[in-house]
Amino acid sequence: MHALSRHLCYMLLLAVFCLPLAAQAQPWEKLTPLQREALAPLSSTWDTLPEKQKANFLGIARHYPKLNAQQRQRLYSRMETWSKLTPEQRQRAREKYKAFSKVPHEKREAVKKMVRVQQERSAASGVQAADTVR
Amino acid sequence: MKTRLQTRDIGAMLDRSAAQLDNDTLDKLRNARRVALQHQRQQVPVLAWLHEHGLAHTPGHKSHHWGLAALFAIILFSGIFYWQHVYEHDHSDIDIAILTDDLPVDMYVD
Repeated sequence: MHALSRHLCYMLLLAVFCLPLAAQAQPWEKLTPLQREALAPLSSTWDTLPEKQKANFLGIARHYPKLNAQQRQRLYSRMETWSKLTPEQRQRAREKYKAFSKVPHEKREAVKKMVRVQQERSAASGVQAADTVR
Repeated sequence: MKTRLQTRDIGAMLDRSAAQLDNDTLDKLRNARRVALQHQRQQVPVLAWLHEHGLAHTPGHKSHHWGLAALFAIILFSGIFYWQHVYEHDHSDIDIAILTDDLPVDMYVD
C-alpha cells in the first residue's frame, strides 16, 4: 500500500512537469482521424509549422464537428492563407475582427453587402478579361 | 512538607534519572529512537521522498505538514500556471469565427 502511494506520488509529479511537453509534440501521424480531417489542407505543411501554431490549429480543429458544410468549405479554403500569415498579422486580424463585431448590426450588414458586390464585380471583370484574351 | 508534585518537579526528577542511566541503556534507547524514526519515514512516502532529496531535515508532525503543504502548493501552482498559459494563448474561438465568416480573411489582414 505504501509502495503504491509512493508510485502514485511520483507519477503525479511527473505528469505535472511533463504536461507542457506532452502538449507540444504533435506530428501529423499522431493526430486523431477527426483532427486530420479538420486540418486536411495543412497535411503537407503540418510538420513544418511552429509548435505554437500547431497548438492554435488544434484548437481550431476542436470546433470542426460543430461547423456546417458551408463553414467547413470556407475553413478549408482559408486555412492555408491563415497559416502563412505572420503571428503579428494574425493578431491584427483578430483585433480587427473584434472591433468589427462591435459595429452595429445594420452597418455590418451594409459593409458585407458592399464587399459581396465588389467580389461579384471583380469576378465578372475577370471572366470578361479572360473572354477578351481568347 | 510539600506533598503534591508539580509538572516541573517530575521533569526535573526524570532528567536526574536519565543522567544516572548507564551507557548500555542509553544505547538501547538511542537505537529504539532511530528505529521508530525510520518506521515513521516509511509510513509517509512524500516525506521519505523529501528526505531522500534533502528537502526536509527534521522529522515530526509539523515538518510532515509543511513538506506536504509545500509539495501540494507546487503541484497546484504548476497546474494553475500551465492552464493560465494555455488559456491566454488559445485564440481558437476567434480564429474559427474569422475563418468561417461571411467576409473573406483579406478584409481583416493588413
